[in-house]
Amino acid sequence: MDLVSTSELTRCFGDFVAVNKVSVRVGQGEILGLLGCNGAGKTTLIRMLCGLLKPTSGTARVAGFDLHQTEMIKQHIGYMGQHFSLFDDLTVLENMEFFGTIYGMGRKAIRAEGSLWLERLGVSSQARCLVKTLPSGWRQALAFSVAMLHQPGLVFLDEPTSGLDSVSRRKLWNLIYTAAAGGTSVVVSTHYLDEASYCHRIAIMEQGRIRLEGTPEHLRQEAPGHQLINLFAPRPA
Amino acid sequence: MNPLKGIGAIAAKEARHIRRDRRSMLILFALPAVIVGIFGFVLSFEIENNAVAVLNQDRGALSRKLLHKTEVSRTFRLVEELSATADIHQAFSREDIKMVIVIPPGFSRALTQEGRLDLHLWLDASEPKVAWTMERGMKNITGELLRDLLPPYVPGNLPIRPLPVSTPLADARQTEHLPTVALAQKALVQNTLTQNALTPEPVIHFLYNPTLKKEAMPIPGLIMVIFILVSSIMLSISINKEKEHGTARLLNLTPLGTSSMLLGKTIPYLVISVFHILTVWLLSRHLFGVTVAGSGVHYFVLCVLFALNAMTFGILISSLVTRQLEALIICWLFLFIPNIFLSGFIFPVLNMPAFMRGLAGLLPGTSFIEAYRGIVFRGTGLAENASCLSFLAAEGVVVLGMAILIMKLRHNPR
Repeated sequence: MDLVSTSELTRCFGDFVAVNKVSVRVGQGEILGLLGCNGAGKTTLIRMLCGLLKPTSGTARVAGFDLHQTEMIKQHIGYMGQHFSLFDDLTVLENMEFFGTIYGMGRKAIRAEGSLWLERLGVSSQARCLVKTLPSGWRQALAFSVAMLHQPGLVFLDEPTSGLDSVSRRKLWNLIYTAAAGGTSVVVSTHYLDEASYCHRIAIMEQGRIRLEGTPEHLRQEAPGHQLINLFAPRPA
Repeated sequence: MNPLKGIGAIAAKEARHIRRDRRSMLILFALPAVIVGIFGFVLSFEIENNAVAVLNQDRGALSRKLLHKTEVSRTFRLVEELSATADIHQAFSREDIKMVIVIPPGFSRALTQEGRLDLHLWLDASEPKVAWTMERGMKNITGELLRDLLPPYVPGNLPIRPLPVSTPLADARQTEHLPTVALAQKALVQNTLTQNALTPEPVIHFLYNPTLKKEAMPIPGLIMVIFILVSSIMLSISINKEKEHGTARLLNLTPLGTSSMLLGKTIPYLVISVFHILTVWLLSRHLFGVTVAGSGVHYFVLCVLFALNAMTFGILISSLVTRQLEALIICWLFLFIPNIFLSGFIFPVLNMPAFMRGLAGLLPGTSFIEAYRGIVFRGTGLAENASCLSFLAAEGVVVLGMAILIMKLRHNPR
């Protein structure tokens, strides 16, 4: 079953068309990478799919619900942004408790699921530390675990690796892989081209449209010189 | 580099910032005019037209004269004539009456024959400033009345001076009291000499805050300050902190609705407010000796309603702005200052021009101060305070509704 399927989804801001007739689908356990420069429409597309923005035209189904069923969609997805995915002045455990409760989890379930994630991340000893005292790589990993705490079938990651060092990025991608292997569908936006190869499928966005779509291998074949970067900007002469 | 050019560049840049930030423009240009317009009016008026009831058991010429002087003074407005001493206390619960003048039988005779001013003033001291003004006003009037009894001013002499008892009666102005004027003068003179005061004074009875405790005066205002600070400003800042830090967007992505989010956020502040209600009550009782004359439950309900009402204003303001600093400035200007100056805490509402009275009536502080003085000083019951309490509740519901509507319009998918 497709967790996301859109048909000609469009969003305008005045005369500006931020997302232009986008049709994509994401299967179960699939990682779809939205690749594009800043301003390509990745975030607007994700915001529409999360129920934060109404499309100007087009239709979509997300996690089995129509786009206007925003409350149901919110209940069944996970989200993690570039920044601010946790409360800085709460501890790791307090963040988990808060978000778990909002998504309707019981205390026991939060504790069980939470300690599982803390072990997986190797940060059990930091469980009672304030989030703001942790390094940013850990914070993003924790934010991902909090987004996954209520075991959503679909998770949106909006530029989750922005500003992280290479090792932290790799670690976060390992977590994403684990989640996908467990059956969770992932929509991840990034402007790091090297991360494209981690995705099962890539949609390259440009000026609100999907310019190319396919597996990383397929797109690399298409690209001049077999390098994805050449799809975006020509090589300096 | 030429430092003047650098200064000029910074000034031009700053001017552009100001021009492009509509909120800065509002604060810099519109608000000063608003502040001067509103508060200029309020800060300048005197306390006038205080409603007064009279119990005149004398009916003599001097009591009529006294009442006439009272009637024509700007400070007072005679609204009711009482028929018995028993009515005095009841009078205060009607018609905003602030003072009852009691003229006992034989007032005119005592004044003319013994130079004794047998006059009793019952003053509502729950607003000490008003009480003081009325006391001063009445002393001026009785002073005038007494001066009228004296012979005309003789150049080179003091207006009030020791007069020989043998002063020809015809010299006295009060010809209607011919036989006794000389005696009165003598008594007045003695009074003046012995008490080293210009005139004998009426007997003042302060009701509801009998010792005119200065400590009691600012307490309702302080409660307002605390609640506006804790309930409105801190709540509003906290909501906007989430916006500034981006966690508001995060919450918006969760299944949590706007109303649940707001209710959840208000609860800790409500608990803090309840703590403050109890603290202020204990402190004012034990440090300042202010006891609640009315029902403690009414007092508590009033304070909680005011705190809740103040919170709804805090929420409304935070729905309109996006930054903590803006929330602080708007709360300060549109909640804090008006509630302190226009609520009747410092300047009586009744004396304000009509449009200011209308504005004051909309402020939660006005209802709070009125009900507070009623419950704490006069011991008024539910019937008298129902209008204030229900206004606070109804206004809170309306303001909260507006805030939620604005937030939904702003945050729901568009």
